[in-house]
This record gives sequence, C-alpha cells and structure tokens, in this order.
Amino acid sequence: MTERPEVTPTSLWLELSQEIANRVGHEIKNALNGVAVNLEVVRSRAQREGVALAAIVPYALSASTQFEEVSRLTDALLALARPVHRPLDVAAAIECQTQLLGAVAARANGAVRLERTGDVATTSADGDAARAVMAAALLGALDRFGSIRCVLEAGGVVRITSEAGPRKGSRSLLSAPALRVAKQAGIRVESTSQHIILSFPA
Amino acid sequence: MKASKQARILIADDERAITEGLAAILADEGYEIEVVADGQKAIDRLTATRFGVILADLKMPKVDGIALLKELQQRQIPTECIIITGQATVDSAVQAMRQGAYDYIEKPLNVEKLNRLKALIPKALDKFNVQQQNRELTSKLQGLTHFGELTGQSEAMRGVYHIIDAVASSTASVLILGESGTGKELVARALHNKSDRAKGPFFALNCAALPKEILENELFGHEKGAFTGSITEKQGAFEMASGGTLFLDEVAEMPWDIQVKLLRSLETRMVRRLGGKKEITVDIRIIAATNKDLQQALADNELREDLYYRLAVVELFLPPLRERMGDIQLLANEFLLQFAQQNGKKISGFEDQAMQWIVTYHWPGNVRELKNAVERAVIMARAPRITTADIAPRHLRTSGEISAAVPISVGSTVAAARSQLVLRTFATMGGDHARTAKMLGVSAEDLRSELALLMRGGAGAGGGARSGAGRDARDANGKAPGGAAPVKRGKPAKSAAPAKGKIKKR
Repeated sequence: MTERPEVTPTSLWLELSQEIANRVGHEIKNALNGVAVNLEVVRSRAQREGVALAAIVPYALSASTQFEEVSRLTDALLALARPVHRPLDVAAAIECQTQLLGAVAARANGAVRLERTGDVATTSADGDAARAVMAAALLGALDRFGSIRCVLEAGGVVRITSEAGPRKGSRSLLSAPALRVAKQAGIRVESTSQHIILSFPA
Repeated sequence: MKASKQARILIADDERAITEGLAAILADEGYEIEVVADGQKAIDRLTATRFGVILADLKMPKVDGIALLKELQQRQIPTECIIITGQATVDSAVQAMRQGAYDYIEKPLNVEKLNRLKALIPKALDKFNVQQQNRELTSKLQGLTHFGELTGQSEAMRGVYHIIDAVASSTASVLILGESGTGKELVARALHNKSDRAKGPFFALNCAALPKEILENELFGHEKGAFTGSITEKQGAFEMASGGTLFLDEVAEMPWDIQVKLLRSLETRMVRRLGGKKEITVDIRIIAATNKDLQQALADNELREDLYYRLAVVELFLPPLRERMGDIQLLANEFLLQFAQQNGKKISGFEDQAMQWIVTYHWPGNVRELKNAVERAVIMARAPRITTADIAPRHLRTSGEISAAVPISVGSTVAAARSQLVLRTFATMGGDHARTAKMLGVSAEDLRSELALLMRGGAGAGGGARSGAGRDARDANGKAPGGAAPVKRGKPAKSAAPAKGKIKKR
C-alpha cells in the first residue's frame, strides 16, 4: 500500500495556483485571438477604398478592449505568482484571485463579486497556507454555484456564498486537504454546502 | 465578384471577441453570416435553414464540436463543417475528421490562419454544392422509382402514381383492384396521405377476415346492451375513421345484408350503431379493394351492383408483379438492402443467375411473395451474394404453382411467344441453364444470350412473357395503340370492366 504524500501549504498552493493559471490561460488566449481577428478586420477594411470609418472603428475599439482585458489578467496572473510577504495582505491576495476567477466565471455566464464591509487586516498566518485556503474556497464555491459573492469583513473574515441563493447539496465546499492546511495555519473555517467563512488570524 | 458568393455560413462559438471579427471578415468576402453561441443553437439553426458551411469551435457550451458533428451525421443535415480549435491535438483533429469535418483550423486566428480559412471556405462550399446537386438528383430519381411506400418505375406503376395524384385530393370513392400481394393497402395509404384528410385517421378493415356479426359490429359499432355481453358502447369503423379514410379490404367478400347497410351509410353519410336509435353523421372517404373478379362477383350476385357503382367512382387497377418485369429487379434489390440491414448481414447483391431466376419467375404471390423470398434468402445466405439456391428452392418445391402451360393469346407475336416459353421454362427449371437449354433443345450458350437479351427487355420480352403486357402500351382510356379495346383477363369485358389507368368519374 502506498502512502499518500503529505499535503503541505506550499504544495497545495502550487497545485491550486496552477489550476487557476490554467483556467485563466484559456481566457487570455481567447482574448488575444479576439485582438488578432479584430485587428485583421481593421487592417483589411483600412486597405479597401471607400470604406467608412464607422465600419472600422468598432473593431479597433473591440481589439483595444480585449487587449486591456489581456493586460489586466496578465497583471493578476503575475501577482498570483509573486512570492508572498509576511504579514499577508488578505484583501490584496483575495482581490487578485477573484479577478482571475471572475474571467473564468464569465465564460459560463457566471460572475465573482467582491465586496468590502470593513477594513481587512493583514494576517500572521503562513502566506502559502492563507492563499491556498482562499483559492480552495473560491474554486470550490465557483464550481458549485457558478456565480459567487465574496465579502471581506473587518477582523480578517472572508465570507463566500452563492450569488443565486441557497442550492441543494450536502457536501462541504472546502476540500479535506484545504481544511487540514487551514487548521495547521490557524485559519478558522466554517464550511457547509452553502457557504464558507474563513477567519484569518491577525 | 464577392457579392456573387451569396453562400450562407454559420459560426458557432461562444467567444464573442472572436465571432464578431470573424463574421465581419467573412461578410467582407461576400458571405451571408449568422452567429450562434453554442452547439445546440447551431443544430437548431441548421435544422431550420440551409448553411453551406459551419465554422464550429471544438469547445462550446451544451453541445461541443465533436458532438455537433455526430449530430449532423446522424440527422443527415447537409453542410460542411470546419472545426476551429484552441486546443489542437492530433487526437481531436483525427476525431473531428472521422466525424466528417471538412477540415480544422487551430487558434490563434492570425492573418495566416484567417487567409487559410478564406481559402478553405470556397472549397468546402464547392463540395457542399456538388453534394447538394447529388441529393437533388437522387431525390428526383427516387421520385421516378418511388411513390409513398410504393416502389416501381414501370409504365404500369407510373400510371398508378398518376391516378393517385389525380384523385387523392377529391373525396371520390376509389376501388382498388389487384391480385393478392400487389400492395392495395399501400395504394390506399398513399391516397390517404396525399389527400386533405392526411391528418385524420386511416382505418383499415379486412371484410373477409371476420364473421358476419363481428364485421357488422366492427363497421357500425354498438350501443351498450345491444347484445348479450355488450357492457359498454363501442364506436364502429365509420365513426373511428370520421375525418379521415376508411379502407375496406376484400370488400367483395362482405355478406349481402351488410352490403345493404354499407350502401345506405355511403349514400347518407350516416351510421346507426347496433342496438342504437340515433343516426350518427360521419365524414369519411371510402377506399375499397378486392382481388376478386368483379364481373364474376356481380354475375353471381355476390356483390351488389349498386354498391359496386357507389364504391367504384374511380377504379384503380394494380398490375401483378409478373406484368412489371422492370420493377422486379428494383424491388428485389430494395428488399435485399432492407433485410441485410435488419439482419446485420453483409450481402452485396444477387448472383446473376439468381437475379435471372427472380426476374423470370412468375411470382403468383406478387410483391409480398418476393419480399418474403428475399427475406428468407438473406437469412439463409452464407455467401456475400444471394445464389439461386438461396432464393429458388422453396418455390420449386411448390412447383404446382408454376403453370406447366404457357398461355399465349391470339394476336401474340412469335417472338413474344418464344420469350414466354423461354422465361417460363427457365423459371420452372429453378434457373438451371443446362436443364433449361436441354428442355428447350437449344445450346446453353444460346440460352444465355437469349436470356440476357430478354432481361434487357429485347426480343418480345415485353410481350409474350406477360399476359397483361399489352396493358403497358395502352393509353389513359385503356386502349391499345391502334384502338384495341382493353383485354380483361378471364371474363369477357363488360362495360364496367376495370382497366388499368382508367379513371371513371361517375
């Protein structure tokens, strides 16, 4: 019988950040495709005589919008890959993840909404553990609900719920390895089939 | 030049950033473009409208590119599909091509790929157009050989199709005459399906299969308590067929007193259930059929003359299979395909000798007998082609059916009489060339040549081989060229004698 390798905060973070990068990579590629196709419309129409500007401008704007989206997602992806500083800024970390997963959710007509109801503190918890638990919670909720609402509350509390209200189901939204990593890092977790509340230690 | 393309292209992709630009590029090329965001919507649009080409993303919500291709094949939706994929792997490309994709293009759609796409589309459209022409030609050909569920391309059958077309839309009663197994019910169904009553019921009743009391009950229904055991009321065939067509098969076998009731119902368009008092109005069209010699039935008082005239507003004669030699091969091949598929057998056709036997045998049970014989042959066949032994033996065992005499009418030509003799002897010998040649006193080689000629319809094959062959040459009034009166088999022709292709409006 082979023993399962122990999940460490770093290994879990690597696994989940790869998962996010993989999903977002498709969105970046699609947006770049859009840029290429729209620029081709601009190029070919600009070469033709008698084509009104109105027939070109929308495609130039569309290419520009898509380029901005690529730029925004690339920045967030770079932030995801940056080494963590202690203490970890909970708001900044979760903002980066919600931005990336928001683009993924949009593909399936979903959304990831982020709200702040109070000043969110930094946390003394291990940086990889904190980011891994956040990612596990966001991915778990997104896969289950499609559209999620993430509220940052005072005292380092993050509340993740379904945007569309309660759903049927009994399985916890957070995976067992993520729960173990959270426990080791002193992150309090309340995970049901309907919501996840993460309380990060100050 | 660009405006002349006018071809319709469907883009199926959930990536709006790409589809808008792609639609603009292709619209600039002169195509008519429509965009849908998922595979299911693509299927819906392709079902409703014809698109020469569909550009489909491999990954789409609801139905992905591969599933879309499968659906197009299954539903036989005519279009050429070019798959656009962001995750091009050898596997996905092979899978797409196997499922019938015209080609595939990898994302990102840079200038080079877009140019390739622009070059691919006219080729895909060419293929679509060629196949479209093929489909149209096949459909036209099908129209020449098929009519509803009926199969046949002979002059005799085209005459039948013509009559069906002409009378289907009227409300006139039709009397179908023909030997057992010629497809009288199929003709009745074709008449119904082509009529304004097609959405109404088609109710068939075999008048010979039921005892008198039951037949009466089936036709007119009964009220509760009409007779012992009738605990509920029951609608009869007239009521059930109301709004549609009532097909009375073997109508000449109907008992005399039921004929009286039937005639009354036909005249008044009202029926009274057994044990009932009220008259029920019905809206039906009657189609009747019989394989009896009606002149004899009228002479023997088996069929009321007034009922006959009521039923036979239009008479339609279905020729026996032996008089449709040209259709035998078509039918045999069609049945072979059908039963080979049904039985999961890979049979490619008939051996030449087997087909010669099939064409020359006189098929007393008509199409039904041919169908059963081919089904049995398919089941028994051990080789990829049906042999004479597969199809003939059972019929030879019942060789009593095959008349040893060759009926030759006065007026037949010598060539026609000769072909009749050759074909019948060949059929009687079970398709054995050597035995046939010996019996006829000719060489096997001469026999083969003569049979080949007869199969091609030469040297009197259309005449003496078929007792009613002269019918094929007759005009719409049943007259042969030169004004000869239609020949009625068996009995001398009366004024009311049915003739193939004859429409009598009364």
